[in-house]
Amino acid sequence: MDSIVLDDVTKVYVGHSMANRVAVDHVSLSIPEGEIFGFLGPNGAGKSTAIKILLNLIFPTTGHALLLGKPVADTAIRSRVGYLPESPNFYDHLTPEELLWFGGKTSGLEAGRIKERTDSLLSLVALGRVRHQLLRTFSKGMIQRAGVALALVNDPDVVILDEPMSGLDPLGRKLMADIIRRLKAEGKTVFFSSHILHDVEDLCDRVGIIVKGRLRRVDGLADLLSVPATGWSLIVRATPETVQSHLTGVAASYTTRGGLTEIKTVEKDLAKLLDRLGSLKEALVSAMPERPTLDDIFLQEIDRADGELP
Amino acid sequence: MTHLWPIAKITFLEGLRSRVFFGLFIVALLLFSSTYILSYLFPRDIVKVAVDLGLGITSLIGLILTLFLGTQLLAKDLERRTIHMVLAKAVSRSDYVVGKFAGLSLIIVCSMVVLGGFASVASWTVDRLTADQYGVVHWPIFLLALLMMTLMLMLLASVIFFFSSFASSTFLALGLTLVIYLIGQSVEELKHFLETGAEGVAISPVFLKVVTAAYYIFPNLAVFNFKTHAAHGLSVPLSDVGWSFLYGVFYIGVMLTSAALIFRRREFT
Repeated sequence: MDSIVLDDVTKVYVGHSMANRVAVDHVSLSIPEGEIFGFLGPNGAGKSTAIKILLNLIFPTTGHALLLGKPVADTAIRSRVGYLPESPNFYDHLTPEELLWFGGKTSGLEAGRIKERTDSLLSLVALGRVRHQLLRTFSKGMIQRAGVALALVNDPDVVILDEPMSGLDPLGRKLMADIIRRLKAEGKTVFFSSHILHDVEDLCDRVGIIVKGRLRRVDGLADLLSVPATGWSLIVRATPETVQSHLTGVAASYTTRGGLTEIKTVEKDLAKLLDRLGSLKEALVSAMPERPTLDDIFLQEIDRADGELP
Repeated sequence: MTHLWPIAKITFLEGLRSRVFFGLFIVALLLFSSTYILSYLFPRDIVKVAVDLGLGITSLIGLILTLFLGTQLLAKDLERRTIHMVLAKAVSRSDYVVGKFAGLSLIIVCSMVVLGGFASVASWTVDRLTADQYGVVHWPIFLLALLMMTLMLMLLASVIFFFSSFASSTFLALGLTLVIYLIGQSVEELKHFLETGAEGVAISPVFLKVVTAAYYIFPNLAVFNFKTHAAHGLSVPLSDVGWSFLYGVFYIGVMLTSAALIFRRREFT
């Protein structure tokens, strides 16, 4: 069964004086159980709108959305869902322990189970020592971590994270990535939006790219990145002058950095280039094929959307 | 309606720990302390003045507290989007509205217990320290006045919730509630005045109809006012108390149902 379904969902915001704005445009998407799905898009692309539709915070203009096979309007289904909003805001005068009690209680957990989950989650997000401290004294990163604990307190089957890495320091991002991997290992479905491509590349099974409300691509990460090399990058420990003297007549470009020279050439000239390198081969540090990265694919889709859409 | 308690509890804690709450209690304490001195500024009926002052201060502080916390607790949820966190749980929108109201009501009840306690101590002290001819405190009516005041504040809280369910800003909800409060305090008196007529004053039938309509639409807050009865020890028919109570509960029900219905259709972007 698919954990998350968006079926031809469109959301139009009706403006007061200006024209209506289409935030999500005929988006269809199915995410099977146990998958980590990265929802990519620039700011204002419709990521958060789609997430809010999944949580029944806003209603689709057309189409419908399902969570664990049930319509999103079914309140009870959310006891099996965890959600971390973008830049979360919680009640200032509550403590993390009270916040998690609330999350557990509204998900129908027994007191003993709430205590057990609170202890393990606060320790996981490194807030165990401040569990009785008011949230208003917390830093942004600490609030984000409290939000993660709240999202997971009910041991959800589906976890929806809206920009979970934004505003986190490297340690916080590593912690978040570890938590997402752990959820994957536990067989949970994770749907997270991001515009930080490295995190998506690192964690996701599949990626969807949304631009101007339209879902442009949905692919497995391996499929997305398994494209033929467009060129090669060779790094040698030599000065550009030495490199140039060896490679006269070969179509290649050079850049130098910290005593290393990077040579870039196209696929068809690689054999010729290696042949000409001669004695410099001993100074070769690395030779890597050049393929489009997720960044390149992402930017290509944005460019394409800019060209096609009004 | 399965998650009322968790919502009510966090609302109660959030309100109870806010600085405004403590600030108002300090002001209340100072005002109650001055009751003794103020009462003695009057040549007679010192105990009556003390009771009237005590209940008046309780009413004023209770009103400020309800208006401030009522608009703040709900509007802050909407403005800061804390409501996303709540509604992302298995909480229905009706649960949210009623749970929030229950939490605020709990704050109002606790505040009235404390403020009423202060007023009782102040009135009791004046009663003890003055000679008998200046009157005595009629405790059952004093308590009844406090109970009805609490119900009136809860009704006002439900009106705030109603306006907050569609108003775009905190100030708008606060302003509209204040207007309702002022109309609610005077509509009965105004209707009575227009109906009995004043000599030499021509009253437009249209205006009378408008006032009559307002009388039935807006909450008649005068029915909860037993301060004068408490101060003067006037007896209160049980039927009056019963009708006032039922009226309050009914009006709260209408306001909360309307707020919940509007909330069910509202989008939280």
